Amino acid sequence: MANRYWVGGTGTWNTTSTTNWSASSGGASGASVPTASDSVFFDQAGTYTVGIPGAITVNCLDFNVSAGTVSFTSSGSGGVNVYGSLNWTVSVNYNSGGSTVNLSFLSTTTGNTINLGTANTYINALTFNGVGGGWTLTGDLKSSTGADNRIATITLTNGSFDASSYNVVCGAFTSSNSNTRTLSMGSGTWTIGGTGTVWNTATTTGLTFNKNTANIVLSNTTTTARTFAGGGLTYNKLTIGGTTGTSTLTFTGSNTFSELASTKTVAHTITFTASTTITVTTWSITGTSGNVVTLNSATAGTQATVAITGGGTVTTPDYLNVKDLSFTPFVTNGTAPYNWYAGANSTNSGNNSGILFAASTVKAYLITSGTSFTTPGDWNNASNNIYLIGGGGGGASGFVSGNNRAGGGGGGGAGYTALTNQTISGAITYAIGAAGTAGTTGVNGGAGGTTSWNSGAATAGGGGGGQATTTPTSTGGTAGTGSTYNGGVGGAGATGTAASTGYGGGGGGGAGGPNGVGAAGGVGFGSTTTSFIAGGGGGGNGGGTAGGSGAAAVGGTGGNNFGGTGGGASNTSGTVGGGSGGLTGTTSTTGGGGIDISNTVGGGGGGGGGAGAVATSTGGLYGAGGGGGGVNTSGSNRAGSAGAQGMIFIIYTPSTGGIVNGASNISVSAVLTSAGSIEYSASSAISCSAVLSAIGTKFFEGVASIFCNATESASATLTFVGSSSISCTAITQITATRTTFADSSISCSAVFTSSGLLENIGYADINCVATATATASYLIGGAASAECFATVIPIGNTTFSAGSTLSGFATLTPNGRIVGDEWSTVSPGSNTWTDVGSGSNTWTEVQSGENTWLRQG
Amino acid sequence: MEIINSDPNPLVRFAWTVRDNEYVYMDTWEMTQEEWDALTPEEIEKRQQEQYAKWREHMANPGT
Repeated sequence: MANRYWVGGTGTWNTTSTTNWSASSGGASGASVPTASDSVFFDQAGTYTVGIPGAITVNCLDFNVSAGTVSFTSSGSGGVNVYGSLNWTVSVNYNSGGSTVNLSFLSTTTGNTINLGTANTYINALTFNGVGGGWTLTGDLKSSTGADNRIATITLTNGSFDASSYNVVCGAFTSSNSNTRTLSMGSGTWTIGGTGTVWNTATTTGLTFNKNTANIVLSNTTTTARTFAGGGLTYNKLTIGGTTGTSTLTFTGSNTFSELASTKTVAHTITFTASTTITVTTWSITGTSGNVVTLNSATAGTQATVAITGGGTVTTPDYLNVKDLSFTPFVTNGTAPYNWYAGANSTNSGNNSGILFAASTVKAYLITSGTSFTTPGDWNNASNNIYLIGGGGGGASGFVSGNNRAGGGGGGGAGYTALTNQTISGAITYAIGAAGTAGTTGVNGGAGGTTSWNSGAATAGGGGGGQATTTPTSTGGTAGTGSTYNGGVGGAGATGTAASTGYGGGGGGGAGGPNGVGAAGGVGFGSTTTSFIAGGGGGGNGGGTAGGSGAAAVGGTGGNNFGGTGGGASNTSGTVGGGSGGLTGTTSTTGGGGIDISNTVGGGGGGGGGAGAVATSTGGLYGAGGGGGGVNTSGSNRAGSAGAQGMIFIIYTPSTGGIVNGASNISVSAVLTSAGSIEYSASSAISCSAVLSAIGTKFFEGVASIFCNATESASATLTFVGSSSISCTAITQITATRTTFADSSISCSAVFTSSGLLENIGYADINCVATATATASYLIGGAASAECFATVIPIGNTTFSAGSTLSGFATLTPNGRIVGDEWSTVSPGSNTWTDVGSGSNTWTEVQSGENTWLRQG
Repeated sequence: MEIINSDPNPLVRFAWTVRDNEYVYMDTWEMTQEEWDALTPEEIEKRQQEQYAKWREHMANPGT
């Protein structure tokens, strides 16, 4: 082990020349060329160039540069193998004129450090490859200038690399092998600026990975595609950076991220490998108007999963275009709403689940199992929609008796029922219509089940099962009945009695939906040529078109959805509510899942009819009929396909709660119900043209007011204090045990009743032009007044406390005791005073003391 | 010039999915044909259950 010092300025560093090497700093040249055991020092002042010719690789132990302005160049792919540490304390040009120089760290011991200082580099390959070696950064690993890929690729082959608290900037990072190695990401930022596979840990065998708190930023701004091959590791944050560059980033591996973010301000695509799960704690990716972010699976028709941890709700995205992705958690038994919101301006391109294509100002449930729905605390009777779809009917098997053969009929599509502004509370019993079973070996398809809501208050019927007989006949399943739209009937299978002839099954019917009735399935086709036997196409979903009939060697085209798309070609699955194409061979397909309810779910397209081969074509989600099975030329029958199950979809605007504070107002044109208290503080107002009810206490404070054009009721205490008021043009019915108006007023043009104690105290006034009835005691206290133009019927005692008055043109019919306190005045005017108390009333005094009692009639 | 060869071993891609009441978990394993052939169905199921249990644990305790 020796030290070697560079002397003599510009020169060549190769494996033979001793011209520029000295055994001492600034000493005489001629020392031996440094080996892997010798540390090198570049400590002389001045500006000079060290050339590493051709593909030569030179060696050293520690690589030190501490003075001067040194440029290292290579005319080929040569470079330096460092078997110890690297420490550059002055600015170094590790390149010249754009040439590249490799840099390899090959130590087999730990404790090495790397400090590039402020080097200006063009490094093609920076490699760590020493069994048992260990390197820790003591400065940023980057070029001080130029693009982010000036260190083109960093490779960890063997050993341990620790970025510590420093940044790493390179074009790509790769460590995909089976060697023993450790990567510690540290707390800095890893800026990866290249294209292609910018991160590759696809093979993690032997890799110990410490995510630490590093943020990985993919900074390329070009339109070239990139791949992050994460190898299923758990990372900290990854940011899709680079503000521009309409590019595609593909993730491979079931990776986990603390946060997945994008700072691009242009449209871009993020693709996840099919059948992998990307798990995130925080999702920070959204598009903007005109800059849509596309999220999809790498394989069309096969989902990838995106999961959010900790039961969190993702509410920030918008302007997304989503396809073939499953978002979880996704609870479909009615106990939890959607966790993922795509935003109001996002596009559902089909085959997605677990994400609501709406802003998070609403809540929604997709229910496909369970039996009881508990009304959420923020349920809003005045703003909700509930959609029901029954189960799709199953397709019948082919039927055979000698030459009497019939392709199975397709299952019928389910009915669709839409409900609006349902008033519910507590537990709601429901049932989800089961999928109609597939007919097997000469068996008809099963009928789809009925989906029901609120103990059968609303239903959507299932589609009928397809049928066939050896008569021979074939009949598509009947359409399920919906209160809004029915499903589509299944298509009939082909039938005949000719020898050696096979027959295709009928297509399933589409489910009904918000855009109309489900479309019918197509008819099967028979032939003596096996490859010619064809099933009918499945029908499109609600408002769509019927499936086409099978023809020689061509399955009937699947019907389109209401928008004119989605129908599958022969042997091809439908999409977005379109029917599957009829089958001619062994390819199994399915009808397209609908998305025409809240752009999220919907009635499905029917499955295509089968041919003489074994294959299935099930109905699309939800409620579509399955295709009928066929018969081959030898007389073997084939099973039909199952329908799709039913569902309930609930979406509502959450109630703002029972508290209206300050100067807030609430105006509803329908029922407003609070399961708890409703409190109106100063200056708040409520205007309701229908029922307003609170199960708990209603409390009006300050100058709050309520205007009702229909029934107003409270089953608990109703209190008005301050200058609050109630104005009703319809029935005001108070079943509360105690109603108090303190400095408040009530004005009713209809019946006003109270079954509890009614108190007007302070400066509260009551003005009724109709009957006001208190079935309990009626207390008018303080300076309150009751001005009535109709009958006032206190069932209990009526008490006028000091300063209170009763006046008007009504009839006061006291059934109890009337007590007048000091300064109280009863001025019935021309009204009739009727004493029906049969002596039970005690008129304390008339024109006695300080009271004035005027009695006429 | 530097020649970089890819792994010459043919890879087996094996995709599997777990569904429960709340989550869908999908994973795809890539391994050599030799490694795949060495796995028994019981070992595959054991690895799947371990992987899924580990993932559920992470879902319940994010950040760990």
